[in-house]
Amino acid sequence: MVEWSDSERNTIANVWGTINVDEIGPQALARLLIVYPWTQRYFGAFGNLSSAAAIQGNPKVAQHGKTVLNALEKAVKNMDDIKGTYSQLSQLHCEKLNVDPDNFRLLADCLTIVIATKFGAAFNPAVQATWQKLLSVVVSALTSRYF
Amino acid sequence: MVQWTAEERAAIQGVFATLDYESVGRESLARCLVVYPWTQRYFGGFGNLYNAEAIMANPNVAAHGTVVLRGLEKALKNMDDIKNTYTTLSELHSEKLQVDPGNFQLLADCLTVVVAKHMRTEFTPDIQAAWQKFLSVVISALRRQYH
Repeated sequence: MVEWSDSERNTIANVWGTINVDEIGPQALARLLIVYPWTQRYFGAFGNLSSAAAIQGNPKVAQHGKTVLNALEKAVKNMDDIKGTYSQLSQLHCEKLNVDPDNFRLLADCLTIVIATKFGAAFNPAVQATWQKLLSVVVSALTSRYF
Repeated sequence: MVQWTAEERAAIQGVFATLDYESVGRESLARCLVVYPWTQRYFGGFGNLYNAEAIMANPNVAAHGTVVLRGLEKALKNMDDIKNTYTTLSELHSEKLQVDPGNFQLLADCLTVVVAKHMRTEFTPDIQAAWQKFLSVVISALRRQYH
């Protein structure tokens, strides 16, 4: 089981308490689709993804970004069993959505960048380390039902 | 040969123009040592790397961070031949320093976080895409002389 120090738990609670999920989610997903364009293949039904401006203005991207960030809240609220928490979502991404699990890490990286742009100096190295630890546990949990 | 659009060149030059090499170099290397602690093994002669505060304050880390950023500037000045620009540095890292090339990506990621943190919302998705393309070309060049 993943061990979390009190300081790490506080850091994550503070970061989560400060971010606006409805704002951060869409930005992170948009950056994923722009910076790693092959990820657009998973969103064929989303309409116009033909340019950075189109992606950033696309309402389906925004909506799905919010869905993803709201799902991340499950990890924040269940830090002692992130693996169990994401068991079904892992199966969904593997069996139904057929998402290459490498892409989870890419989205995690984009999320970290968005948080860095929002927080500035407050996103110091210790906070970054804790935040990336959380995301890597989440990525691992989402990959756990892949064979 | 890597193709750069005029927009990409402008984006990358724009990012460099915002960078104070000493501060960004120090912070990027420090973050690498904090967030990916195994990288500390390459800096055994640097003194106190015991915790995040010590790493951030360590003068050897600061000096070496500046060295790394100056090395990165070579790529900026030779964007149409990054591969050959780094032949000697690639050999150095492979044969003399014996750095696992996976770590180049980790340092690049930390540098991107620091850039995002400084530029905030000016680090748009388009600029992020160009910047990450630049760093991946640099990493590829640094890996080239490994066997």
